[in-house]
Amino acid sequence: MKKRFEFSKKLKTISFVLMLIGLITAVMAFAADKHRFWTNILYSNYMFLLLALGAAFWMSLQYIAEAGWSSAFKRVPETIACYIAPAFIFMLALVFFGLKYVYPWANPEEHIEDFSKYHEFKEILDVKAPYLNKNFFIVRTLVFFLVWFATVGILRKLSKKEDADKSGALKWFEKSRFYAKVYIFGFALTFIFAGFDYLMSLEPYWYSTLFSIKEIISGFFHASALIILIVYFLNKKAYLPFMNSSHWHDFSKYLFMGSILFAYAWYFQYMLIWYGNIPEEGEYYFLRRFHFSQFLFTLNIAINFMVPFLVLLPNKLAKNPKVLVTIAVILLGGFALDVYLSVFPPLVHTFKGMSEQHIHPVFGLYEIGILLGFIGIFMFVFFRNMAKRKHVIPVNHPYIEESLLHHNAH
Amino acid sequence: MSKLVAVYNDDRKLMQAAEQLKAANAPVEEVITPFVIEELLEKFHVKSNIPLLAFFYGLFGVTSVFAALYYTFVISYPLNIGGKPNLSLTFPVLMFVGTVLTTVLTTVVTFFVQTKMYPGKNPEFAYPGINDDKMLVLIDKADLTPDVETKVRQIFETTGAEKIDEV
Repeated sequence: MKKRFEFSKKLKTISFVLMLIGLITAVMAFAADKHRFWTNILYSNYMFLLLALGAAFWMSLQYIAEAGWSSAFKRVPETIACYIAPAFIFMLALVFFGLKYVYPWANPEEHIEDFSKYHEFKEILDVKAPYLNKNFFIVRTLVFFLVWFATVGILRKLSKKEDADKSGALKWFEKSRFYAKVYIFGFALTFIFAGFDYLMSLEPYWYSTLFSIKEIISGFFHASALIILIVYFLNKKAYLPFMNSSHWHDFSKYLFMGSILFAYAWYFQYMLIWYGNIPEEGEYYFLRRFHFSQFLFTLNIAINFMVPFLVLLPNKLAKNPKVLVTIAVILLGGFALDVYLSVFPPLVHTFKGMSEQHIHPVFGLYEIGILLGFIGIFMFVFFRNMAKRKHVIPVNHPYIEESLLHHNAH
Repeated sequence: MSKLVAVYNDDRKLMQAAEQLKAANAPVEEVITPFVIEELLEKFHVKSNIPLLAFFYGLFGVTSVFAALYYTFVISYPLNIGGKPNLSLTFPVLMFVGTVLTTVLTTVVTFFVQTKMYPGKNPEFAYPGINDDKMLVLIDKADLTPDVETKVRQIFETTGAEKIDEV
């Protein structure tokens, strides 16, 4: 039972094949259309970065709530958070080489075709220049990742020390509890600005103070889905043999709660902008609903709210791991769609063969290939770091027995 | 009406007693505990229909609040507020709040009806420590034959009841 995760050859091959596909399509995309290439790098990388941070948030929540049921698989969110390292590399690449292809404020000439609009646009950019400029953007990226590396790193280090310490690990648990609070505070504070920088500044003329809150909630919600998927996989591979319906039920409560929270965040931003009826604000949703795709816009809320809410409502379905994992996979698709609707609509007009007058959803070989590549990188990073730890199930965690014997009455 | 009362101060002891009583087919009338012992409910298949009822109350709440809003804002007194449609996106806020309120109130009323309770009712059964940390097992003496009674008393004694009493 207390065994080490084995990064099997099959998994290695799968992740390398995915990475290879990603590399080939990335090279093709780079040669064909640089705008599209960098947009895709931002899209895929941001998605996994948010999942990694959301998973660390999930783990911190378990610490500060002193939750016992989840301690046996706390390795999973802990290891998902390792993706912050590759995310840093891709963000740095984007910041240094791709900034002008993606962010309109870095290169206004190329992003605005209509000359009459250009002056108005430039005026807004001049006002925002003290914040939205290349140097400050680089500094902020470094600060964000420094904070995330430090806080998540401390939590991981404490977890390792806890495993090595045979004398009774309450000391490390207490420390982890403290640093979980530090992480949540640091994450909330930095991600507010990271959301503004990485996604909201794709449309520098638009702003919403609620934007990053929605992203944080979405990250937490969809990270729970990813954790469920991986726990299910590890359970199938007999690394977590103790899982019973109570564990799955508690997981499904996370998805259920997350779906309501996501819908709430989606709705408060949409409703306030709709009701305020200010052209500068409404532009964001006008672009997505009426110019880009009404169907995808509606599908987003349907997948991320209606599906988990309605399916997980009956008690029996909520306890069934197969149903739960299906919902988790659908939700990860929903997450891809949600981020897609944030990133692509303002940028598709810069792609080859598109113009500002007729934009439509673009999801072709490059998008799928690069996304698969990132999935491969994520798998590789996750499984490699999982294999590095001595045990899949933590050994000295104070709540480990409670987690193994977890039982809910209903 | 006289009752046999066993007082416990530990839920694990109570669980042991409950299991043995169940095996002996003792006619337990009521168990009173200061907190919910879910294992006890599960073991004796005590199932509440309140969750299901609450769901239907929720459905009722959603539809009735929507109907009320629709009637006032669209049919009875349509106002032009900033050019917004009368059937508007602001409905969900009130529907959400109204649904929660309806569900909570009706569920509380259901609970009172099911347990035959109402404010100001005289207690059906009172015992020192019943509102404290004591756990009580009640058995109606009318249901007990003498040999069952000795067995029940023996179970209470062996499982470590703090006190065995008759009221």
